[in-house]
Amino acid sequence: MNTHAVEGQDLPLTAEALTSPQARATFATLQWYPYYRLVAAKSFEQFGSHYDALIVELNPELPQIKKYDIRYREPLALCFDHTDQRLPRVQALRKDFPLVPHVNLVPTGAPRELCLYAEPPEVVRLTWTPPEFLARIATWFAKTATGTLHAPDQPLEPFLLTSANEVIVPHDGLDLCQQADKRLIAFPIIRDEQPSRYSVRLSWQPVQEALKFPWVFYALVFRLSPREHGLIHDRPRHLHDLTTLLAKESPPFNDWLRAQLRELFSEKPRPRECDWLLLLLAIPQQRESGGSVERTERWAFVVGNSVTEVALAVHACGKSPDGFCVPLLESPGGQTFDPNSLTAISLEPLRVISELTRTDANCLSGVAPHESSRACVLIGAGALGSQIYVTLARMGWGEWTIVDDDMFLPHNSVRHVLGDNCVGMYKAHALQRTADVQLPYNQPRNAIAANAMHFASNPTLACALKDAEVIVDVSTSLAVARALACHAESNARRVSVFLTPSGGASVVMIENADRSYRLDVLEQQYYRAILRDDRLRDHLQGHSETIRYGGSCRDVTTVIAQDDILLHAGLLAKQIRRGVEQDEPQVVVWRSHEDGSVDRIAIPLSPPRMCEGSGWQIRYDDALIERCAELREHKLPHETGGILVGYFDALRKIVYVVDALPAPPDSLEHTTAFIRGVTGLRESLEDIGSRTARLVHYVGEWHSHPMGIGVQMSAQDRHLLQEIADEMRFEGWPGIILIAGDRQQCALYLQTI
Amino acid sequence: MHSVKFYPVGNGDCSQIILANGKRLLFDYCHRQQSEDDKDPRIDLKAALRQELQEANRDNYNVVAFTHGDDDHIAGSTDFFYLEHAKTYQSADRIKMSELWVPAAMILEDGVSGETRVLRQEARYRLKQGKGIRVFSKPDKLEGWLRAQGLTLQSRAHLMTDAGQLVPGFNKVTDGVEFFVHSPFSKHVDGGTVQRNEAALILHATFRVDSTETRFLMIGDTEWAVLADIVNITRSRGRDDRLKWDLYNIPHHCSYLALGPEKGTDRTTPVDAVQWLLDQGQVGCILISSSDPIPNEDTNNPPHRQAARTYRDTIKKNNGDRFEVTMEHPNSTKPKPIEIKIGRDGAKLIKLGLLGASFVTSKPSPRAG
Repeated sequence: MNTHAVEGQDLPLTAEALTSPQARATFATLQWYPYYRLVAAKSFEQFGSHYDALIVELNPELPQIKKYDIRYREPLALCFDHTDQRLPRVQALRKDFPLVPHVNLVPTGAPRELCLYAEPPEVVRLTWTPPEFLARIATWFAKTATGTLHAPDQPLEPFLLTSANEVIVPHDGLDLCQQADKRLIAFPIIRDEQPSRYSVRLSWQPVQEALKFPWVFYALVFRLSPREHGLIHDRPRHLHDLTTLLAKESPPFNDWLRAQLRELFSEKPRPRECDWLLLLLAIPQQRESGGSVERTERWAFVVGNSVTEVALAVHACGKSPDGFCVPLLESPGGQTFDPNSLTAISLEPLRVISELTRTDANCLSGVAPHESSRACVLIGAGALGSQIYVTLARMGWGEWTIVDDDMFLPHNSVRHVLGDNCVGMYKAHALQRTADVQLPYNQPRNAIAANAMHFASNPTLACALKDAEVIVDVSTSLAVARALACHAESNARRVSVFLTPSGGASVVMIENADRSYRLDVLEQQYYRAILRDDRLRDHLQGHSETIRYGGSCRDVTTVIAQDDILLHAGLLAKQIRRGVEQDEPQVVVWRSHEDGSVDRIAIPLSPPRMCEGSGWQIRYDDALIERCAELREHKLPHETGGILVGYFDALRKIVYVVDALPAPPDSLEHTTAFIRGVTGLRESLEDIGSRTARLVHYVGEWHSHPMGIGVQMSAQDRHLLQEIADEMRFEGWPGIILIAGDRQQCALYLQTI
Repeated sequence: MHSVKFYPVGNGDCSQIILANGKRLLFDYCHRQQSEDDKDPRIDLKAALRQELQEANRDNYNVVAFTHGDDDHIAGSTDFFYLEHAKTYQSADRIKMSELWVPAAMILEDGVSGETRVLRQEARYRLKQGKGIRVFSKPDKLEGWLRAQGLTLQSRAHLMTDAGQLVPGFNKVTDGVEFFVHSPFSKHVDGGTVQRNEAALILHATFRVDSTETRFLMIGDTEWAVLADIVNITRSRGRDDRLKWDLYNIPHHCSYLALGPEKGTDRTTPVDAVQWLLDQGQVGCILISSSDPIPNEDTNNPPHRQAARTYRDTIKKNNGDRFEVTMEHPNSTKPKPIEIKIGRDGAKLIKLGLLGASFVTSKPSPRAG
């Protein structure tokens, strides 16, 4: 068998002769581990590192018919770095070892090295043991032989280049037709503390841009013919290797390079002597020979000489008498290069990494394409809004318009994605500018620094709302939420999210797809849940502390920690994402507790109802009717009743009836009459007020009618309504009574004075 | 995918063919009571086979074949199998044999005792019943025995298969395998006394998966002269194909006598016909020695290191995979069954996943104190 000789010094076959602890441990394991035969031990030096090499023969698990020519006896070198700082390298020593996937790139002529681990070395080392190592090698051979190391559904093998440095290529690819005034130019990003480690950022730029930098890389892209994936493993060391490797391409690489450089030097401005050359190879990959191209692999090399030197070496240019590098005419019959001059031009490989695209962001976050393209308007770019927006936009979820008329002030930095550099700017504009730079794959459509309520007078805003599919209100203002829900001209689903005053809970309200449950109705039912569900007793209780950041009365902000904001922003963003995927309306509350736990309360929702009278709308729902019917049922044949609680919207002349209370114990409940008592009523109303931050209060009265009587007002009822209306007048509200009858029948009567 | 398993039962034999269609054929059985001790390296065959069947949710083998009646090929079988001829052997937890395969010698041997006798009775019972049995070769003596039972040879002929024939009931289309009978010849039992080893069952299985054929030469305890006979007869009939092999069950626990008359110092030189047979091993072929580990020194009893050397050379010469010893696989302290998978890519000796946690959790743990 023709094998690569392992250079270096022979060692006696004893553990003591080895320096690397891993090598010693592996040596011991090889004494009993099946299917391996230890043949020899060596020590050698490479690139300044010292290695122990164990030469072994492996008898891999093989079927008789193999996909790749793996043999029943494979000579291997297991190379252990003396310091054990790296993972051991495994070389297949057979000279005719086949071209197979999952080997590391090695210089031409060197033995192939197995790529054993997908995880980074520091992770592998946590579980590395000699038997595991030997088993992994055995598995590599067994699976390579059957062609199963690479699963059929696994994407084609990415280029496994062990390079310290990388080039970031533009997300719009290397395939743009070159515009007359643009070139692929790369700017180096050098990290001071480690000058040998650098990144190169490639982009399409006007040539003039290059002159603004002390030096740049000119990048040239060579396209190869399609080939089977994973089968190129020789790493070209210098330009001569590359010319040889690509001699059979059409056009041959050297002709192409000469033509490209000649063209480059014909342009104005020409590359400077200080500019360098970056070579990119685009290699279309097929799963099987002759199949369709599944992806294009990209290799990149930094050329070790300046672009001028390369141009001279390949005879693309010559030196003019005054020392300038000028393009040479194409000589008939082409030219052959002097191999020696090309051998002197070294190539340093770079890892090629693509800029993130929106699709990548979607894939990485599990966002579907239809979610990605959803037009969204964010109302309110404050602490919560900015974090929700950035969370969703990062994933490529939604195409956003940002609306906020507030200015970024120093204290905002504590709880905002933006920071001190944005002080004095409109939050909307600052957020857009930041997103443009940080999330170029999902730049906001627009940023509008305007009051969200002013859509009537702001055509840009009106237009954004009209075109939206989802409007996310994070304004933390009831007025905005209701205005958006009721008035803005748009078919978009409205979503409202906010934190409770203490920052300890968050709420999301999502309208249903056909918008029969509007935001204002969801808000109303949310209050009822606060009244009925004792888990929400303290839900709206504010934090006692407020902090003044300015001199004016309104310059007050509350004490809420950024970690709470972030926690809830994450929960809310996720619920927004999931919620708009479903058709149903949703109101969800999350409570975060001191011990770090979070619980979720889904608020029950009930079909809304509405009636009108005297210029007012009364909004209520099935749940209210059911409650009255239940209380009535319980007291039949007597009448019963109680007070109604809710709130008024004076602007839109709407009464929201949230709930009906049972009769106080001192009420008189006759078969033909009901007189509501007062015992405990004040306490009840106080509790209601406190639970709902004073939003919900007394709005009217209700009582039941006996069986078979109907829900028409009796003379007494009329009188009652009159009385109530008279009293409510002093608050500026109408009087309301509700009458509950058989079969959940009910009627609401409203009277204004 | 079919699989063939060889169990580490020391110097004894037990192998199993599990066909892709689920059918199971067990060849020989050798359970020693001492093997139930965790310290004994031999497999607790009874427990292992039971567990396998339980996992496959069955209580029987489609075929149980005894190549001959020697103790190391039948030991413990009468405690394990459900025998139809007597109630003593019919407890509910016994494993049933849908079909019993025996060489004619096992029916005809007189003066036997112990388990050999019990199995002889079972084979005789089944043959008399006319079902659940296949007898290999039909020597004149068998006809005589049948006559004594008041039966004709003709009435039982469908239960008998001669050398040179395919075993009915299996074919390459529906089962993916056919069995060709090399031995016994009738002459093996028509002499004065029955030579068990000479009259033993030797089969050649041809597996087919898609268009790939894989051949398994299944030799019991046979000596070189019989092998040479088989080679010569088969070749004279132009059936060289029936001597090609990818998998070879080495006869008689790696005894030199299966190769040639002289043990040799370092290496046993096979007689020409046996050498020719070894040369029929295909690329990637596998040799299995169902035996104790190969000793480093010269020994009287098999396995013989000189014979092992010859088999190792065979692997090298044929560009084969491996010469594997049941009691050395994957090591001699705790050997595990050898498994060979047979698929469209031929035979593959399974070497991965034999050590460590994945194996530990595949069987009950050793007894804890």
